[in-house]
Amino acid sequence: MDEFTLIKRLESLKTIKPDRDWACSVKSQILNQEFEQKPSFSFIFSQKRLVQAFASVAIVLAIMPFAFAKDALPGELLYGFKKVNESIKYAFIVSEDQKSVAQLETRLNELDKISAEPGQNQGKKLAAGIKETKQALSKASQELAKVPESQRAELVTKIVNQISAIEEKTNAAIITTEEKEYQDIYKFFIANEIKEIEAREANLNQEQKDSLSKAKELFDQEKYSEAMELLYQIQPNN
Amino acid sequence: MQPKEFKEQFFSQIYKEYLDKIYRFVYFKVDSEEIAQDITSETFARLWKQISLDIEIKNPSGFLFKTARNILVDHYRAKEKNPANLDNMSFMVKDEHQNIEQKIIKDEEMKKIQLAMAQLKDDYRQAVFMYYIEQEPISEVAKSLGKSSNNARVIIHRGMKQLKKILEA
Repeated sequence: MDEFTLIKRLESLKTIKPDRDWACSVKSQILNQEFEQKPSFSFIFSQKRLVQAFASVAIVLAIMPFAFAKDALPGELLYGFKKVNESIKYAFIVSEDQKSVAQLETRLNELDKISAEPGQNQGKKLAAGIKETKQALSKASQELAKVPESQRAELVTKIVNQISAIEEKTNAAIITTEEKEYQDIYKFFIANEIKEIEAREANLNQEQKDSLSKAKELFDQEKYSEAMELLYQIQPNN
Repeated sequence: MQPKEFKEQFFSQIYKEYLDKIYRFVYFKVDSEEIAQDITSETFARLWKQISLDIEIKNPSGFLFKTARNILVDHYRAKEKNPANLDNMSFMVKDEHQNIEQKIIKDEEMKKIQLAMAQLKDDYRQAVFMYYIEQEPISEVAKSLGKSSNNARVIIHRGMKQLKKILEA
């Protein structure tokens, strides 16, 4: 068979066609098939998706310590995260004195919790807690000096009472007279105490009156600790 | 996402243009009209799936021939059947649409050509089929094979050479 004949024969094969009825029925059968679009493997693991997934995991990992640090105590691993949380929380408090008092109260609450939970690391936690409280107290002391006297008295009394209660519970000294940075708070507190006792001077006996005037002298000489001791001895008869 | 009507219209256009070609292409390789119909319908069903799922088909001809070839390979793997057999070619003359030209197929020579076509290497068969039977231009043959026009020319030439060799054997 020569090439020309072969080509002619091949061309004639084009006459082979599928059955028309079959062609129509197959077409309608095919068009009736419905396919659900599923996310493809390449779509799920496309670079963009991968970056998004990693970013989400990173965000979760970054947020997790902050969430778990809510109840962390000084000396614990997550305590740093708690303090960052706190600074964000207190950022909304405009007044610096209120902010410092709130922070100090938080520190005192922590000390209270530590003293209530005896355990292996209680000593370590207590030391860390006292350090934190002292720092907060120093800051609060500076800020309270800026507050008007009328508002300051109540705050100072509250703080000193809380500190005294914690000192009693933990058997630790938070405010020591040697540390000048806390003297302001003592000064405010003692001044306030003197005022209160003076208001009830009529109820004092002579000995108490002498102690009060001696305490006032010591206060003027900035001997706050000694003044405080004398004031504690005065028990006005209401 | 394209509306369903648009997808159906797109599919219908391709179906109309390629149904006969794919059917013939498959038919030259398999040994029955029924199997040719099954493989052809499966080929177009896969095309419809692509269209339905909004997967872009840049080259429908290439897609259809490649899919048909893959299904043919699967068919032979599964059934371990031999390619076209002369005895089964006889149904073609029973086609109700047959005309005088189709009656030529009865000729023993035609049967030999069909058998020889079935024995060609896939690329050669597709190239010879598209160029000589479907009378597609070289550019279309190249597109369908996924080759350059020059490569397609070479494949057609080699295919014809091999076809003659089989017929002379």
